[in-house]
Amino acid sequence: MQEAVFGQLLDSVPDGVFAVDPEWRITCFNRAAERITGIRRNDALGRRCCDVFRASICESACALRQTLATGQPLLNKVVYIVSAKGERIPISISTAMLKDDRGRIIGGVESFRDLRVVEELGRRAREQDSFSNIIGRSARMRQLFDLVPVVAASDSTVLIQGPSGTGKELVARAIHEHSRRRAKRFVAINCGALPDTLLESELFGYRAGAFTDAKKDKPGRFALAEGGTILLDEIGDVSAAMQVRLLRVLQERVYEPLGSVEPVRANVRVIAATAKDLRQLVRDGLFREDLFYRIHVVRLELPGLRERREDIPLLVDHFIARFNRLQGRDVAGVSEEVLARLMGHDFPGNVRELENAIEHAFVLCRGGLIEERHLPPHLRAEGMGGETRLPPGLTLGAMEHLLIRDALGRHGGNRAAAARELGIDPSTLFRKLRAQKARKPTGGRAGGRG
Amino acid sequence: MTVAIPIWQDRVSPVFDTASRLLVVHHGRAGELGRREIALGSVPSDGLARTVLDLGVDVLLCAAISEPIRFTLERGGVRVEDNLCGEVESLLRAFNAGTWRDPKFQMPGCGKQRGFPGRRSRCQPFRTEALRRAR
Repeated sequence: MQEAVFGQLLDSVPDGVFAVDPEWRITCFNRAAERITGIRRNDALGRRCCDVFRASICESACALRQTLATGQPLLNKVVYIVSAKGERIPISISTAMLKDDRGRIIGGVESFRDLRVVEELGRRAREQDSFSNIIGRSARMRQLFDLVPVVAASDSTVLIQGPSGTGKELVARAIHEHSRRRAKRFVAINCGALPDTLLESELFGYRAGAFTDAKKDKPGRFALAEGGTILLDEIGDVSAAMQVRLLRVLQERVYEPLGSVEPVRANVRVIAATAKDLRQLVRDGLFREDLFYRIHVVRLELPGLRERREDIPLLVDHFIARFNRLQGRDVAGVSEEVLARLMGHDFPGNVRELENAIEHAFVLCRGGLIEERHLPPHLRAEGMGGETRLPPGLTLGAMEHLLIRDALGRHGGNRAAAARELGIDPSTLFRKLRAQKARKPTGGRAGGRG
Repeated sequence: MTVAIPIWQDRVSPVFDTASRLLVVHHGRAGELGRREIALGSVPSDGLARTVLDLGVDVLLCAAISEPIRFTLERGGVRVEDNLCGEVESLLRAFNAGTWRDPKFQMPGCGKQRGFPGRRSRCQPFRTEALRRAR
């Protein structure tokens, strides 16, 4: 009776369990073991365990042999078995000795867990926490994930607003990938990084002879995106003259390449993105109201990372997995102190700043867990908290100016490197430098926004 | 004809992918012409198929083998007889005598699999189809 109960007990366990005698013959084989290996109990009993189990370690480092030799149990060793179909099944095994009433060794027992189930659960969890490479499980991001397919189904112009580094281009790509235009190209252009003349030729292209050196026709980004989607990033930074040209494309769906007299019809979905408050720019007379309403058909707002701190652990895992893959590394994760530090940081550079911090840590971390000493200086304990020794009366704008000047100085004027350190996009740095130049700060007391 | 068997403790190695030694036996019309043992310890599993192909093996007798390695071997013209177990010499004799399909040389779980929905008696139909598509 007791044996029957013991058998039922073993069969109710979700992990595979088998036992062997001192001759390595299988004496017990539960239902989960049948399911994972694909071998029936009656076929397995009495057979040599290596003929049944077919694990990658049977020959070189049999876990049961080690346990019986040392008397030490083994826990959660990850190996693989090869099924009769030739499939490699990842499993985690644990072993222990079996002794009789008098303490004599009568064999060993091995339990094993099918890691495909664990991996599948992990994959499903990751799927639920992401949408077209946008990571997040916060309520704000879930709302966004629900909205993107709906927006993608229409052909309306979309305005994506959000602070720098929040993933506006990722959302634009997601809209394109879920739209009927996905078979055609997605073209992104940063309007804030180019002077007017260059931006015009980039957007609309030019004809041969339009200007000196224009030897042959060059298609613009609108032509490249024909049938697809164009992202006009940093739309809040385009000049008044350029706004007029963009308005014409959006209103009439035609444009003229430089040097051409023939209008070209554009079948392109336009997505505009900006980190600025366009409505405020309209009020300030810096952005055309008609263009604002043209692009403000559907509006998506991306939250800054400090507004969705609960997504930070998920994003950290995502970036670690990505850098491990890209760099062939084996970094296990971040320590609890590092996670606490990251959770407490305000991330003015948003997700991009977090990504840069993890990339920085990957350079210094040889393996195992990312520790506090691997973080960029501004995220370490000594670089945070406590009393700041800033001069009194320093404005936020002046502070930004100092930070940018220092970063540029450290990198010999290299804007890309300075932007990376500051956790902002190079185009954002370019824009800030341009704004600072326009403001001509004096004595470290420049006004302006932070 | 050249026959190869991964070996461990005078028996067929349980998993070809991680086998450390390979016995290569050359047969002529008059019987065995010679044999040699190859150390596979330093060969990574993705290089095993290449090693066997380079040895000019015609038939591989083995226990468990993962599908990608089997696929590469079969594409290279090697006949793979898998899910075999037992003592190497007995199996070689049985192979020469044509009796190697005897149940005593079959690994458990590779015969009829009543009670396991979706499983086929062996994997040959899958493999043959995959091979035909590849060719």
